[in-house]
Amino acid sequence: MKALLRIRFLYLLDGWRKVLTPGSKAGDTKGKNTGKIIGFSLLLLYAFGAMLAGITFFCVQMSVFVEIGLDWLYFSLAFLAGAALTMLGNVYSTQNQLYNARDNELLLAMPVKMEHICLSRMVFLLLGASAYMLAVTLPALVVYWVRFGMTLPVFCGYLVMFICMVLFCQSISCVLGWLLHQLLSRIRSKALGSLLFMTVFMILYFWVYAKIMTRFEDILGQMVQLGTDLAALFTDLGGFFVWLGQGVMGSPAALLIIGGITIFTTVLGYYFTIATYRSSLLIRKAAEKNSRTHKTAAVRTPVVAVCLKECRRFFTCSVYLTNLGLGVIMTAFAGVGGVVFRSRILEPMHAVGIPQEVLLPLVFLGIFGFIQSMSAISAPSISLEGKSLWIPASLPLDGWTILSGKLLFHLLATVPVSVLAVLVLGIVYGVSPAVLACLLLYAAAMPALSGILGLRLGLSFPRFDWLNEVYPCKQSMAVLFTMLVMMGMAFLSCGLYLLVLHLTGGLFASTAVFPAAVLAVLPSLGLTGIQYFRLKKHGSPKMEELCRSL
Amino acid sequence: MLRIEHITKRYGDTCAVDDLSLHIAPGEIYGFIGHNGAGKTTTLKAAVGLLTPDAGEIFVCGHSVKKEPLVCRRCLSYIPDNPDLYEFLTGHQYFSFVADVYRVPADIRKERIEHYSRMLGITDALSQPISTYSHGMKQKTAIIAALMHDPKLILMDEPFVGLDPLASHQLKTLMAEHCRNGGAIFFSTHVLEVAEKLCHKVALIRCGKLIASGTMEEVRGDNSLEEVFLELTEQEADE
Repeated sequence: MKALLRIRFLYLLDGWRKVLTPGSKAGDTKGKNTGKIIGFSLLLLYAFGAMLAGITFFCVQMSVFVEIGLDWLYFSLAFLAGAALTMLGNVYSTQNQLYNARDNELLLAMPVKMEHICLSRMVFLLLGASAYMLAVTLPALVVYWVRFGMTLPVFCGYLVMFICMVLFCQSISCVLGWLLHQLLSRIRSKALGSLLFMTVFMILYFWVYAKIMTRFEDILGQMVQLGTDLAALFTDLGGFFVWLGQGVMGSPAALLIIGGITIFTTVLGYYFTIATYRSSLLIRKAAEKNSRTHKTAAVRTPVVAVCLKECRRFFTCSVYLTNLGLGVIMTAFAGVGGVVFRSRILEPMHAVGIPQEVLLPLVFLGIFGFIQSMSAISAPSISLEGKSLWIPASLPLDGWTILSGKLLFHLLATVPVSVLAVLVLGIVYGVSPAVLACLLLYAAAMPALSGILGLRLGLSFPRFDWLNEVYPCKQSMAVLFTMLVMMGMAFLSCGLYLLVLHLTGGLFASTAVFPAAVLAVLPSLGLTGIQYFRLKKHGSPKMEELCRSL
Repeated sequence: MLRIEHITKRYGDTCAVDDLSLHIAPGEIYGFIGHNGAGKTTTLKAAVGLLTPDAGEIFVCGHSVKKEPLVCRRCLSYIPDNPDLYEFLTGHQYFSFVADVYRVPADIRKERIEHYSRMLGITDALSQPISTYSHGMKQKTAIIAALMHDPKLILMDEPFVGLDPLASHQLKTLMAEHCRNGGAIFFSTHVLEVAEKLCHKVALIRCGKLIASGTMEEVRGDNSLEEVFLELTEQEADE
């Protein structure tokens, strides 16, 4: 057990070392590596800080409940939000690290108890769950402490509830992770399953988000009423929600009940996990007969062959599709939603008083720019080659052919949807042809930039020793940096547009919408061109160097 | 067909291959024999261009692997010891990918896929994703993909590992047929009996150094290959 924990810890440690010092070579100086560590630590701190700031803002809003004497409701909501985040974040991890881990068979072949393998995985899943729970509930506790002071019973209550909720959420995550594993192993077309999952998730997300945002002002103005209503609802729904908050407030009865529930679910979850883990490894389904017949394929060029291979990888890897296909789905949603809810979207625009022809390009630049930051499809594609890198390396493919194939797939997946969405919305919203032409260029340039940049960063920060696709798709520097640069580009475009309008009479009376749109689009076009030539010049030898480093 | 001239490859302080020279002519099956970590895989990878030697040069069909890697790769095929294939593709899709890269005409690729998959007994599995294949099936898939463009030179790293007796026999037949048609094969193996029966020439390597090479008769004389191998490696170790 100790050895299993140690090896798991070393793997995670190695992962973090590679996240913090991507692209570092044996010859790098200590100072250079230290600089990289500091740089990336600051970047991670920035991202983490931004998230904490958002959560703290909501905690401050919720603290109104404490003012009206509903302290338990404040903590109940914090722990419920923490539980939602924990389960959302941990279900995929549970499925991947427990049921789908690539070293399962290697460990099973050793004289190690299956319970120990399972437990060693669970320890790190619990640590992950604790981090998620802490991210939400700690700001809540700090806000409470600062605004209303801290008592020993509340602090102890918080600690007990924290432990209980982490265990409780992980038990539920194990069940959901197993269900997800069952679902994924039964779906023949992972693409269809993942797309359906994504679509349902996005619809729900946008529905809830739209509901909250349209009533945000009302909600803030009626927090007292909302608190009273929620308290009544929670009381009606039953004990758990009330005990959750009362436990933090130090109520011994609530602590005992929640503790009991936690012990019960944890024990049940433990046996369930051991049993499902065992069955998922030992009872293999016979490979299902595939009735698909293979058509004699037409001869394709090597670039198209690589592109097709990338396409198949994208649509058969649920982690890849759900994480980096998000932008494409959101682009389509933005297009359809913009047409369906045209009048509801225009209403607040008219209320602001800024002319529609001035405001619409800004909205387009902002929305489609930010969405593209979520379509870094090409960014993990280099690392995803993994142990199969020997295939392109041993075939008569030069570096540029490999990169072109990957880029072609990225462009085919992103550009048509983006251009079509902007074209349809431009026509529906009556954007002038000249400005629409600029926006169409922007809609094509941004995904292209994301693709080229993703490949360049993928070449700079490759990692081929991953155990599952989560690392290259979710945690790699290539993906993170591509997203950040694309967000920066969207900011820059919006900023330039506003600057030109400001210099030519302001938002309300500007006549320079077209020049402003041209200037806003220029950076993305320019950078796309520059990055393309740099990829062509430096990317090809870099790719070949990677192939030769096997 | 394959000329390896004084190649040296170091990994830090360890010398994996030390001044190794070999020549494989058309029509030859050349066995490469050595203990684990002797430098067999490093030599094979260097011949494909998967790693760059620190010194020396390798020529495939007269072209330098260093200067004209793509021309060389068009002439050869490589089968690694542990074929990590694209698991998200089906067997058919993988063959199509490889055939596209080598620009094999549609009718010829169809004929070759059918012929070799029937010969190695994996026709029924070709519509399944490679992720569902056993090690042996992956090995067979890698072999068929390697034969897709009828290469002049085939480099194989432990090709018999994981193959069932029938597939092993079929592979030996394929190798002999390939050489009869003027091709050449350079493969590493631990199985001395296979090398003894199959190879025209062998090279014995120990700690990166070539300790013997030549025709089977030249190397083994009146003894078995196993006896010669053990004797030579012990001698080298004593020195």
